[in-house]
Amino acid sequence: MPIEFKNVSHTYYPGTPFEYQALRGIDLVIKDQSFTAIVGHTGSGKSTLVQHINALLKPDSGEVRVNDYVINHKSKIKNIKSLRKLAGMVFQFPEYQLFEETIFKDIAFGPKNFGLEGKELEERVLKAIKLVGLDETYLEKSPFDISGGQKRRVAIAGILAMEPEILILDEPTAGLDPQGAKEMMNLFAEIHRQGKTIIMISHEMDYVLEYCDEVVVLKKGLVAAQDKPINIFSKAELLKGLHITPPAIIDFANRLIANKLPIDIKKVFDIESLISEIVRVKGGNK
Amino acid sequence: MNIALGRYIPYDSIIHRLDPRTKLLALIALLVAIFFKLSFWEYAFLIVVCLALILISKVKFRSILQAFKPMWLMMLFLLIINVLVIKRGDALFTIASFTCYSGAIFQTLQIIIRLALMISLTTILTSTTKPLDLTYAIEWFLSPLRVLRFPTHEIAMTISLALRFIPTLFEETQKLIKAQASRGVDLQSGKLKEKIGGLVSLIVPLFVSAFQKSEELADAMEARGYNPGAKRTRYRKLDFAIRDLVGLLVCALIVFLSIYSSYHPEIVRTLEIWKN
Ligand SMILES: Nc1ncnc2c1ncn2[C@@H]1O[C@H](COP(=O)(O)OP(=O)(O)OP(=O)(O)O)[C@@H](O)[C@H]1O
Ligand SMILES: [Mg+2]
Repeated sequence: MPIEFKNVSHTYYPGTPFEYQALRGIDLVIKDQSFTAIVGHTGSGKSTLVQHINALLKPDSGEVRVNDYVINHKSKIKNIKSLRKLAGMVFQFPEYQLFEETIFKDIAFGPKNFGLEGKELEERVLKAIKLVGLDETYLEKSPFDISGGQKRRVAIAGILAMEPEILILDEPTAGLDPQGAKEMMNLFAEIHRQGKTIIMISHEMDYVLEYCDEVVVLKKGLVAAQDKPINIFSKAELLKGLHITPPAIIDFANRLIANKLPIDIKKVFDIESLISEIVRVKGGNK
Repeated sequence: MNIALGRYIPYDSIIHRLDPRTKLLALIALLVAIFFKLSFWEYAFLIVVCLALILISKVKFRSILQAFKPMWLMMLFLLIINVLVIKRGDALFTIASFTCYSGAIFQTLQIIIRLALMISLTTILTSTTKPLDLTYAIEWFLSPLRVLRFPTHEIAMTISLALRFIPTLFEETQKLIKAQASRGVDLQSGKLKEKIGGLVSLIVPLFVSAFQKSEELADAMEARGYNPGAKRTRYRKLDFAIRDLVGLLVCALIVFLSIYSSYHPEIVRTLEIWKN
């Protein structure tokens, strides 16, 4: 079932001088099994928005529906743990949440809390650490003795081991080296292919274009646009108003078009696709 | 989520504008008064003073009640102990051959009132004074000790750094609570064993990041040439204005009245007669 936001508002510290309305009536449907990107200027409410999906935050008004769960101001969610298992959340800089003596224990922490144990738990952990590109020799190390990028992988493995149906990622590649970031993105794409819904907050439009099939643009606590990535990125005017720099590849393709190369921008999403477009157009000119 | 206890709240009131030294001195004086053996009337008087201060300083009653929250259990515990131990006063009632005396109730009530006044007044101070100003005040009061080579500046710096990091730690705790809740920690309704495990999952990362931060901060301070022994000037000067003088006088009067009248019960009695 899709994730639905109906007129969702959220205010931090209501009734104090620190009061701040971060969401101001969000209407949004995130399709089942989509790879949806959430983008927007800093402070536009992206993190606030996604924290409603697993009920870390509750709306002041309006409601969020995730499968059979209804999250609103009044309701106390009966089975909150299974909602948290259904929608796994990877926070920004998740490496700060590591705490166990060994990496094995840390990855096992989530699934264990959701009732997994014994052989099954072990298999999950093993599978998760391999998914994030580390080998099992890491399992007995302390999570405090590895590099920042490796910590990030372990933290993500800790969520993957819960095998959530919906995976929420808050800027998962921020601060990673380009190679590592690419590997992470490929991992998420793979999980997406296995039929999971992925919701990713990102400031890296190149990845959004290449990997996502839907983009939600937030602006000052409201949904400013929602469409396929290419439809959003090909509208230069729209982007300017939303403080979004288009992906480098789109920028490049647009300049080619401006120089009278009639390529179809809707077919461009990475270097390879751009090359084959150029070949197609050039080949036709011969 | 609730706001950190006693966090500075930037309203504009006369209490906010007072010199932090005035406020600190006044708080200490009032606390001393509270801990004298006062009678009912003096407490009533101090409660009125406290309520007036809350109104003037625009501090929300709710935030004061929130400051009481951690105390409820302690107060209950105190009541039980007192009822079990104190056998003064009149017998009030008997349950299963156990008699409860009025002395126990009064004693508990007195302690509760003292605590409540103490917490309220301290909350007023911390919600109307920027932490940094408060440290300046502390440093100023300690400065005579410099003659004895007492490291006043270092102590003030330590306090102000600690205060500076309270909101940061608070924010980090909130983030960690959310992150671990996403991993299935249920601090509200889980089993005891789970709750303890959940607490560990908060405390360890908090400590790790606190140590990391302190190391980074030390490096940053050194990189900018910080030397604790150096002579320093200050960007913000404390200024003692007429309103501070008035404030201190009022405070002195309040303290004097409550202490004096507690040693001269005839004053209150005259008041009572006069009222009749
Ligand atoms: N815990 C909090 N307490 C108070 N205000 C908050 C809190 N979290 C966020 N805000 C405020 O809500 C607004 C939206 O924050 P949010 O974190 O959702 O933005 P964001 O779109 O994720 O930004 P970024 O790209 O910088 O991560 C910000 O203006 C922020 O100041
Ligand atoms: Mg964010």
